[in-house]
Amino acid sequence: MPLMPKRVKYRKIQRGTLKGKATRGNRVSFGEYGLQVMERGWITSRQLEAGRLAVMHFLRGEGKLITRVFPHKSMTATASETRMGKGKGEISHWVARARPGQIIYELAGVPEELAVSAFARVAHKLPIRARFVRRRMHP
Amino acid sequence: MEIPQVEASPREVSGSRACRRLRRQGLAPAVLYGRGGPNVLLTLHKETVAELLERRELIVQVSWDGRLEDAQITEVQYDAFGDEILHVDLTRISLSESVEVAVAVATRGEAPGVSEGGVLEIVQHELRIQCLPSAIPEKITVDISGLNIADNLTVADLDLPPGVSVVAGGETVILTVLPPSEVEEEAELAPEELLLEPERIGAEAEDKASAEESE
Repeated sequence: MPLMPKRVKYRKIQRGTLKGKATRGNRVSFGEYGLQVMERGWITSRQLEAGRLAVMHFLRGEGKLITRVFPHKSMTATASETRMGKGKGEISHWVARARPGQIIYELAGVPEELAVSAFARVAHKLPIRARFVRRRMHP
Repeated sequence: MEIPQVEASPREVSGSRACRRLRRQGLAPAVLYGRGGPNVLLTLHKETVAELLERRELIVQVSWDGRLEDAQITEVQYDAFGDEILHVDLTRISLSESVEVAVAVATRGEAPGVSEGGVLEIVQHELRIQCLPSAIPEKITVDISGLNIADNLTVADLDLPPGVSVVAGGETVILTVLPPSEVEEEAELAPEELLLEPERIGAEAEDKASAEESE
């Protein structure tokens, strides 16, 4: 089952804009390593799931993966061969909005080399550029 | 412990535009305050601050205009990517009084739970401790050789160096050994499953209202 909200206030929402950089969710907070996006974009629930599975298969159950984003935004599509008009299409998938700097996944309990390789596999499944980051200590 | 000396220069300008110009020159705006003294606007070299943070040398002697004061780096602001230092907060301290500082948690030994397939999860990667500036440990090492699957290690179990106390309560969990997670097989989704839609908040109330109207 792909990720999607359990309850929503409005089923269909407009595309909106995705301005600025991530001011929250841009630090590695739960794990030791993270995958940080460098661009803005929509990440679909299928891409998130593909990334999660890629890590789980690569690590074979080792370590702990934390997903830091959730697909809250619904996307609609009109069926093929449909004439113009007749209102907005039906919900086709759900996306998470990611601003530059957003941490998408975090990993804990694995050596750094493994985390680098695991996140390199995930980065290929994302529609935007992402990089590997380490946890930083507070002063 | 030798306290590193940091060269700073007094800053007369403030505000976002002036600070942006400073950052372009490789400088970071800083402020020194605390202990009843005046707030002093300073400028530090970004590289110097980054090196200090890398070595975890948070207690420094700040010198500017022939003055010298003991201070602690208490906050560092970064850009959205966490690469560039934007601002540094320095708090005046007395070397004879205890300070609060974050120290990394390191593990020693191998947990039997991990060799059985469990995952060692470090809940607290760093601990805030109180101690004299001269007695700040490099890290707090915890012995995990007695941890089995589903075991926790709390602050109360720590063997702390003399003069060091942890700010968090004794029941705070530092690390735990989780049971191994199972690799899930990707199941093919039935088309009707993909079409599932979330429940709409307030849909019931709306239906009731429309039913009443039609009556």
